[in-house]
Amino acid sequence: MPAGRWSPTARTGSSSALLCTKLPTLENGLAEREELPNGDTGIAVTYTLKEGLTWADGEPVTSADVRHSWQVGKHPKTGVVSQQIYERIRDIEIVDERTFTVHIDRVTYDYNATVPPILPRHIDRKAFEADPAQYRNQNAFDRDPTDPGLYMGPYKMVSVQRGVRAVYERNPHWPGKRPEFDRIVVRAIQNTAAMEANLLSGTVDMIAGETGLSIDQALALETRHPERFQYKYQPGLVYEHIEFNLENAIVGDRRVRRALAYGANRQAISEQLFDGKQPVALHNVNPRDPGFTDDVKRYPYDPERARDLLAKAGWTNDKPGQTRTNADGEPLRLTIMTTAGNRTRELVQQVLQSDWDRIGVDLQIVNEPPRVFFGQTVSGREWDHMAMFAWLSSPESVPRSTLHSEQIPEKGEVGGQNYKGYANPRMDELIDRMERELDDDARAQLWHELLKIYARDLPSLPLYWRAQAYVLPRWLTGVEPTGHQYPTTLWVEDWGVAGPDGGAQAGAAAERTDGDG
Amino acid sequence: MLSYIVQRLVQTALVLFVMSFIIYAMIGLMPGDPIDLMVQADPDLTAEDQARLKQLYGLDQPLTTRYWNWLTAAVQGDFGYSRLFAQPVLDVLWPRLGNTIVLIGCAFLLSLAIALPAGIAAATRPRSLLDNAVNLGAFAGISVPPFWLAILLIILFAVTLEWFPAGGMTDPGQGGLLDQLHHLVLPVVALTLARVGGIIRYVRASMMEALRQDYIRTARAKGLSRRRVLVSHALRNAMIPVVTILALDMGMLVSGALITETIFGWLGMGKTVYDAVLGNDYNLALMGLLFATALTLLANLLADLAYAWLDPRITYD
Repeated sequence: MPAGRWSPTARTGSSSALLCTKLPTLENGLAEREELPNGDTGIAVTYTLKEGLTWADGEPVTSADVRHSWQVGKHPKTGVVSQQIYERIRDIEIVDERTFTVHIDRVTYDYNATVPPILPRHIDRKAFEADPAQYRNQNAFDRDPTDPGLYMGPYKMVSVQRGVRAVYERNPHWPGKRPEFDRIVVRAIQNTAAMEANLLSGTVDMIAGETGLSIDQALALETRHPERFQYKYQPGLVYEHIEFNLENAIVGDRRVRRALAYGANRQAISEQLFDGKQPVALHNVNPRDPGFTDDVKRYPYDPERARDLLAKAGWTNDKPGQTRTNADGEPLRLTIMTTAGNRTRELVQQVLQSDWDRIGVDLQIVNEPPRVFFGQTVSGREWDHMAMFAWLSSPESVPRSTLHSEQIPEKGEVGGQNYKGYANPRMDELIDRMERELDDDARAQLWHELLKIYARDLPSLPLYWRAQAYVLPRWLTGVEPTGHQYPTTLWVEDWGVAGPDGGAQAGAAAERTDGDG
Repeated sequence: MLSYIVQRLVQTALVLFVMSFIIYAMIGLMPGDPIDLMVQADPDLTAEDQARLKQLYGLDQPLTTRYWNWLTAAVQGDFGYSRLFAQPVLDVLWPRLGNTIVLIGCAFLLSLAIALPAGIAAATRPRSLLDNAVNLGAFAGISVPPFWLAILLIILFAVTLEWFPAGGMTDPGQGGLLDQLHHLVLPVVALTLARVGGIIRYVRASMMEALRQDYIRTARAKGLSRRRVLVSHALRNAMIPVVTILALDMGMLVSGALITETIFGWLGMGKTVYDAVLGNDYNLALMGLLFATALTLLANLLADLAYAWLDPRITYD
């Protein structure tokens, strides 16, 4: 199915056909616009599953599985977290055992990625039909996770201790490339120091970047053991930034926000704290995203310019080094909040405190436990000036929930995630248009304009793209960090053992059974 | 005695009932709920999704209504599902309770085996070289941060010497008794070293106090052997405050073993309840904390009964 693999060798990401024979498009005729009963335009997208595709119990993967998955997802009581994709699908029509047509109620650029994750109907249907409200507790994935009929990839789960480890072995019915390893054990180790000790003792072979060591821990490990492992750092889609409270009179002034951007030496933060592995963000779109452009207003470190801007905004000081004041004599004292105990963010805060002190800003650090910070302060829009955290997105993810004015949550109400309170009619229009723009070039232009507005208005201060750190054994080949929301294991069949010359050993005897990860 | 025990058990049930509401209210009043956590993980989650999920999980109801729903189901034996583990709460807790009892039980026995002779020896030779050595060891045990000690043990015995595994409860494909014991060694040693110093200090102080009592002088004057004076007279009385401390330690089921369980990947109650509280798994956190409360209360009941056995002057009739 379309998985949006973000090839590390290409700047642009695109959907690719993992389980279907061909990616359906309007150009190849497998997708067709259709008129809906209410007169709107929808789209019908036809997929054909690859031949020989089976669940690990030998049952074929069929169109009925896809239709069942949609029915489960759209049912209001099954508890699917995000129902957007299921609600957009009007129907899934079964053409034959391997071919099905998805009827979608609108035409959006990601029309050929609008397919639900596939569930095994022959196992899953019974629990769903018995009681949809109990499905989230009674489905086979939770009740009997080692049932081979639940898996269709190169591996199947053979045993699991929840919270401790899961053991995977080859799926004998996998029609694709035969994976190298007989068994892969995934261990859950919550303490990163213990994780490192497990790696050094050989209890585990590798630490996956998706949820493993932080960048500073990986860099420290590399310094101590540069030759023993291979290290891969992949900047991804986790966007670390500072959200301004735009309703506040001080940071609601764009000149002050820009002054803070000029006054923060973000390049030094990237180089000194992260050894350059976590690059400075220009805005909220990653350089490897199709919508990226660097033709936007930039804010290089320029303390003099920052001072000028603050003075123009009415914040002056008589002597360098003093905190600036306004005409009423009030000091320019700002608070920044983030998750207490996050060492990386706390380090960045200290650097910013020092940087902004040089331009006459008194920065107060007020951190809170993550649960309080996210559960109350951020979602309740209760921070005074600045809140530092990250957003995780996917390639070409339209920032409706974080930038559209309709997504500004009322205090105390359930709503969108435009916590900063940013409202710009042109931004709203661009967001509305880009979802329905199918032409890649035209959509890229919309993205570029959106990013120019973002960089100009600066509703948030971009900091850096968080990187994932993979620590791998020297003999392991084929692990290709994606940098996006899909894990490296989606292509686990490409993993292999290095030959004597260091290259991949094609067709190596699959005797290695301790490939812990 | 029997009526006393029955009375205490009734009190225990009442305390548990009150605690269930207090714990439920405290968890419920904490900032954020499970849906807020989902929002942080997915910025594309719509307001409609949030409203639907809050209704589905009953989070749109007032706290008292949610508690009443839980209570009425609980008295019928339905303690709900764990949101994190997607299993009935008791199915999650029973094995973990067993794992923690094994871990803490072994550490408890090992601690007593070290602390009793060390504490008695130190108390009988105050300010001697032996006393100083025991005190030094005890203070070192108390002072060393448990997480640091655990990491140190892993580096020494797993990474450098490769004698024991660095973590986990069994090896994949193994799981026999020897394999489990092999995995148990380092966590038990870590927990013992963290606890034994305090117990040594209690035993030493209690023994020194007991040895100053008139009945010890009388026992010696009667010509009883040194061993009998120490064990039958002094230690028996000295154990009363020590038993109190040990009974209160049952609260360790949740808090004390957390660090050890987390670092060694030991699937126990402490780690489970901690994850449940942080992950907003109300049912699991509530039942885990109630388990710990019940065990602490029962351990204190046993301690009270032990007082009567240790000191015949104490009766409950």
